Amino acid sequence: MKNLNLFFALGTCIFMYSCGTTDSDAPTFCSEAGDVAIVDEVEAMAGSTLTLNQTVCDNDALGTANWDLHSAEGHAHEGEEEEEGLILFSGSWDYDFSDELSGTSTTSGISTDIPNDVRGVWDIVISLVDAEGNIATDVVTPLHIENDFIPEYQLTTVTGLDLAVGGEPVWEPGATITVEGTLTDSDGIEHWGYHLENEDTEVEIAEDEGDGAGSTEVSFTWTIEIPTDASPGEYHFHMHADDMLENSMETGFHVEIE
Amino acid sequence: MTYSKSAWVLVACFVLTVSNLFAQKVSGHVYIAESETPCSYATIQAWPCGITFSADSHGAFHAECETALDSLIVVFHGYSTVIVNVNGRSHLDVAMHPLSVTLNSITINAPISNTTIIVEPKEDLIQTLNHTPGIRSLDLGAGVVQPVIRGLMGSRVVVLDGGIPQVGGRWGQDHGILIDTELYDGIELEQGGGQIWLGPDAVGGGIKFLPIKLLSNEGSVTRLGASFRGGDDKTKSYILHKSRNQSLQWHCGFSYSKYGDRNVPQTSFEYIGRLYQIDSGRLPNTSGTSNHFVAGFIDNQEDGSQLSIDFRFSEIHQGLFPGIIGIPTQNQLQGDGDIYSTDIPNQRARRTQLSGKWLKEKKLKRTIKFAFSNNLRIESAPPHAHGYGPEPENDLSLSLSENYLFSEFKWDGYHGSYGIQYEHLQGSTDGWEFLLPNHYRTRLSTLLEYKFLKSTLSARFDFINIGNEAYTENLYNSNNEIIGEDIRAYELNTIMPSWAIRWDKSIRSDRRFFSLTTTAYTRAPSNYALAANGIHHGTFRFEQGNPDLKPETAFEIRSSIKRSNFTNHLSLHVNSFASLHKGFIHLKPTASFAPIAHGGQIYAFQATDAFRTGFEIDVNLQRGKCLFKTNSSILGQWSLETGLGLPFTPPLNLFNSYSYSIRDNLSLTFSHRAIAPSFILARNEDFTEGVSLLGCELKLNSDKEGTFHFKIDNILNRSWLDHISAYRALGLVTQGRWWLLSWSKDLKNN
Repeated sequence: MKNLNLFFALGTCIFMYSCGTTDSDAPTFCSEAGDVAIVDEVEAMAGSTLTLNQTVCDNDALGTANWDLHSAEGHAHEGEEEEEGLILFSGSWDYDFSDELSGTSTTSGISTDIPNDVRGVWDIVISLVDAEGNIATDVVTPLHIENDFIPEYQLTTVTGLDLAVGGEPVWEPGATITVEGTLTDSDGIEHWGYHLENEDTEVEIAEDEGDGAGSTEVSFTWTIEIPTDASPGEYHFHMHADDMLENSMETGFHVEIE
Repeated sequence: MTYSKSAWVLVACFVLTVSNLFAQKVSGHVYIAESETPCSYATIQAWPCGITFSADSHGAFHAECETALDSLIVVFHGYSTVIVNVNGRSHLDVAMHPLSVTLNSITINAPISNTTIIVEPKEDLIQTLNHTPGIRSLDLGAGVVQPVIRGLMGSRVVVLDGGIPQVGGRWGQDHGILIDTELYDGIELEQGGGQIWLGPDAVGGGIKFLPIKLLSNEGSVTRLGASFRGGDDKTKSYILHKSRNQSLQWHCGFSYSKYGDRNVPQTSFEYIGRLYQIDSGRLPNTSGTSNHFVAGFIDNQEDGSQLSIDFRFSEIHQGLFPGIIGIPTQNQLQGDGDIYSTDIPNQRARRTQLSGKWLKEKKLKRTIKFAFSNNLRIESAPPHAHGYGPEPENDLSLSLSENYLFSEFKWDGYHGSYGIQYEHLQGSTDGWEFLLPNHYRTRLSTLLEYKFLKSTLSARFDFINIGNEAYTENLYNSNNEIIGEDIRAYELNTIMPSWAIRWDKSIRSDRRFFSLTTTAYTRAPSNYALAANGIHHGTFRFEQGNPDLKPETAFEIRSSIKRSNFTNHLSLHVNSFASLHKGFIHLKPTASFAPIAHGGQIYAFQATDAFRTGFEIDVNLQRGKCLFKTNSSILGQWSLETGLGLPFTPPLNLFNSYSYSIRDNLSLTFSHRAIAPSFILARNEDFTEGVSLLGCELKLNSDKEGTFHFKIDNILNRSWLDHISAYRALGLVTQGRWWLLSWSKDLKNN
């Protein structure tokens, strides 16, 4: 048995001595001025062309950089500073692009059109691998998208919610809720409305709508009675509006009814 | 008074005359009946005088008693003793026949191989596997138990139900085995590759769940039990009844368990770079149910034949943690307050199996096994599209249906055995999350085993036909318009021969056993390794097959030594192995990202040379009322081309326990499990910290009331990551502290 164990130990040493070595160092984001990795955030307008660049390096050979742009709603990224305050997201837009790279240092970039129906905060995530498959820690940078095309809600009061902090309000069956704010659009408001919907059953327990009459700004104070028989659970407060040029917008926030 | 000399002579003559009148003489021969040759020196006893003498070298004898001679007993070594009545004859020839013994057929349930390890069952399959040196289990619910033997898992570990290989997407880490140990009569383990009868896939080894055995006597036995586990609030109950009447036994059993959301000492986790909070101390939507059923019979005939048929049905329904399928939102992780409720994403898995075995023992033991099973796995998830394209209209993310046929013909003799195995798997997939096309696999194997001089030389030769259909999807632009075809899989049909040659040598004495196994073998790639091309929810990665893969080859040496001391208080069992793999097929990270959005980095099946080695040790020491147990396993496996570790290499594992018998039927056990940090890492694999876990248990055995068992695991509620679990990639820790109260009892009616 001793001989056998010795055999195994020797075998291990021989094999491990003779086995190959590999580049196991991950590539890096060796940023230059203006690169995505070193700015706090990127600001852009819906409907415009977004151009982003990032310099990347590897000690041996670069592989691929992947650009992933997605809505920041509903999650956070490690190391990312949380956005403070309630953000009203509108529209959906994802962008994904893989940029095949070569050499040990190069600039990867994208140029894409931002749809004109989105508003809110998006995440720019750059993933990077080298030719051996070593992957770097992702770069995550927020992209703030403003929008001049679609109507915009700005809330000043929501019962149970500190708008400066954000989060989600908790409402009770039978409670009276106030949602206050303004709706603006430079092309004039044609129509507005809201409804409170159970996310599981899709049953609407409150709704209202109105006519903007082409005004560029509409102030509102919605008083909502939560039915006493409302089922506890996860709800979404939908707000929508159309302008005189038929640009539609929908936004909202998550609500919990207990 | 005096008598004359003539009177004395007269009396003497009278006596002699009279005595000659009653004395009898017999002569004759003793011979071998078969050959009709003389039976030399046979022992003969004449009755009633009792004189014993021997025949001469020619088998001739001459017997004489002073009184009447009524019988002779003839004895000769190796031949049946013969009693002959003289009946006044003066000459007798006695035929001798060889001894013969007639034995009724018996069934031997002991391990058939010297390398087989009998696994000590624990309260559930996960604990059973984790407490066996060399084995680990992955666990995220009762339906997601996956054995890991010597660092290998999935299709590299064979799971057998009564010798029938189990399928059901065995390639997936998240595809647990649908088996309840309570409905079997034991578990055995075979470690290492080059297995002959377990098939070519058993590179890590195989776990054998032993079918229900025949009761030794007429009567019935009912095994029943119930348990509750605090933590995930799991309840379980089971019953297994066996009844034997003469040669026929029937048996029937059922088990059911229900468990709540997994309790974890964790507050956040990360998935694809996104950070999520866990508020309730539980992983939401990880609850579920499982139920298992068995019914069958064993007909044991006096002519040595035995027929057994078993029908088994298993089903699990389990919620899947929202991070498993799709990208969750923080709202989905809140939970709904009911730890038993499940929502999508979820999985349903079902196994329906009919198996049979017929055997007959004469000079050769002939065995025929057959099985047909259907294995269905359905994953449902919120409809979502990766990148451009319309959102799916239903929640069927992935379904995998596998029909499987297995048969084995085996002949066992004194000096070996030989046989044929045939299996065919037909797999079909569906759902909007493509991973694997419709596929098939057929294997025909010839198996030989020859025993000589305490050695066994065995071989297996396989012809494997493997293939899959092509699969394409529409390619969309940002306006959801079809702009082409996305080819996800090409049609494949190929034949790959494989083989295994193995030599086992064992040396056994009263208290020592040593065995050495040397084997060389090949293994054909799985359908998954050849044709996968999509996001695998079980590993949270985009996994890509490689149709150009060829069978891998390995050479392996392993040894086993068992030793106990003279007082039987100390036992030691050490297993070790070393194997060299040429073209070891495994998933490696590539320099590319998935062609579909949010698919992450592509992991592709590639073949690289690898070296694996390790050993396991198991020591038991009994001192009075105290029992010390310790077992440990250490493993190393490396890619020879890069020097990096192979993925999911289990770190060193050490388990110690101290039991004290408070009374004959009451024992208290303290246990400690230590898992070392993961120093052997594959490319991009994160380092995992070590952990030290404490546990204790109290066990009461009562003949009348049954066995009561109370156990606490992870007493300190440590938060720890399991390096070999795919969920480790999400930073999801294993289950926190739990306690278990169980009761079991065997009701016998003989």
